[in-house]
Amino acid sequence: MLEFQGSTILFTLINLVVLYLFLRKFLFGRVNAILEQRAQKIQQELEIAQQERTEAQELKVNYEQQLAQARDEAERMVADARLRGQRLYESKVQEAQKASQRIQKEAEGQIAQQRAEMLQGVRSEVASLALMAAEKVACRQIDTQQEKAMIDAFLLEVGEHS
Amino acid sequence: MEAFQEMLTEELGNEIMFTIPIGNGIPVANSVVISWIVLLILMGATLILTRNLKMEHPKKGQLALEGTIEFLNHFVQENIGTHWKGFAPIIGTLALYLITANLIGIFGVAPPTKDISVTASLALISFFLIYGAQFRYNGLLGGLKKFAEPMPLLLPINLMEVFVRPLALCMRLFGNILGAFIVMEMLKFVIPVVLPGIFSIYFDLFDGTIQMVVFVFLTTLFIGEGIKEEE
Amino acid sequence: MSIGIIAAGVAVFTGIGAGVGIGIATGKASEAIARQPEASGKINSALLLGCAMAEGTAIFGFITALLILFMG
Repeated sequence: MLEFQGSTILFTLINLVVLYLFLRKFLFGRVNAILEQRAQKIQQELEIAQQERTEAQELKVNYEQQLAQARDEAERMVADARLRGQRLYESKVQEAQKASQRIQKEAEGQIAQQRAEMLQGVRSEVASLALMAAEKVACRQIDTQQEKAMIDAFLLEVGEHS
Repeated sequence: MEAFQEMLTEELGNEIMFTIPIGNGIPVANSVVISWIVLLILMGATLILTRNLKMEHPKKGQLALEGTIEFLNHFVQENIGTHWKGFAPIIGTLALYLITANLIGIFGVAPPTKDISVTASLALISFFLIYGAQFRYNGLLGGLKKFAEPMPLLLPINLMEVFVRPLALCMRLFGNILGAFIVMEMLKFVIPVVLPGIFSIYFDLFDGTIQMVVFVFLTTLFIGEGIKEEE
Repeated sequence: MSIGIIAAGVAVFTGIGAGVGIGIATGKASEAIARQPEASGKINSALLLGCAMAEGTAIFGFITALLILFMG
């Protein structure tokens, strides 16, 4: 029982070699291939995910830039409109002021003219009244140049006093 | 007592099953035939288990298989280092053969590892693996230089180890399985019921697994020792 | 024959050494694992190696006993 049997050793060697070749092909080969495939697939998917994430990041940055631009534009437009409105308002106010001033001046002019005309009328009226009164008083007609001048001078004097 | 001794002697001898009539006749021992059965079991199981492997949505069986192979790959990689890829299937084959051969004793068949010729053959394989790897990956000179490591003074011991390692591997496996077998036979002789079943769990299952682990572990470790680069 | 049986019994006494050695090694390994549970993997492999080596002596004794019994 303790002797080495040449044929058994040889047979066992052959058995093991056959088993090794068989298992290498059908067990380890197949399973390792599957494992490797899976590892590769996972690697690929990781890479794809990474890529997609980078792309998404870029897109996000882009959008944010665009959004900021749009906001700036809107703000600029609002400020523009406000400025324009202000300017319009101011010019309108000025125009209105000018118009009112002009109207006032015209009115003042008219008033002054009317007053002057009235004064003239009154003055001539008063003069004729005075003349009539003087005629009545003197009962005669004053037609000499000298007297007329004298009355005028008097009236002027009165006018200045009144 | 005499009867028991006779029975034991009969059990221990490796009878020759039949002789192939070529030349002087090549004797085929019992253990070789059982080895063939082991081979058939392993091949059948392999074909059934790897029948349709899928990359996506693997089933439980496939997951277990993948886990085992990954464990083996990891173990070999850890112990051998960079050149592990070619060794993993060899180590795996040894492990599968040994565990099946050791555990076949449960079914009442004499395990082939009880035959010293079979274990000698296994030790021969691990001898070729260890020193083949050492010379293959270090070159002739580098492989020779490995014997003078860690210091030249240890050269005789290292040279002695070349023979002691395979001998120890062979004898350890043989002795353990044979010892377990003898104890089991004695138990069966004394109390034929119940008790052998309980002890069979320890001697066949536990001891068989442990011996497989030890053989594979030592072989891997020795290979790694021969070719691993100094860290 | 009787002297051969006695010789075989003496040869099997190598098992004492192996038993003591494996016992000590396992005890130390348990202590080490208790101290550093995270290193249990490495400790286990070292223990396995040591036990295999220690067991080798017992196995050689056993083989010697067998040789004496059946060959002597």
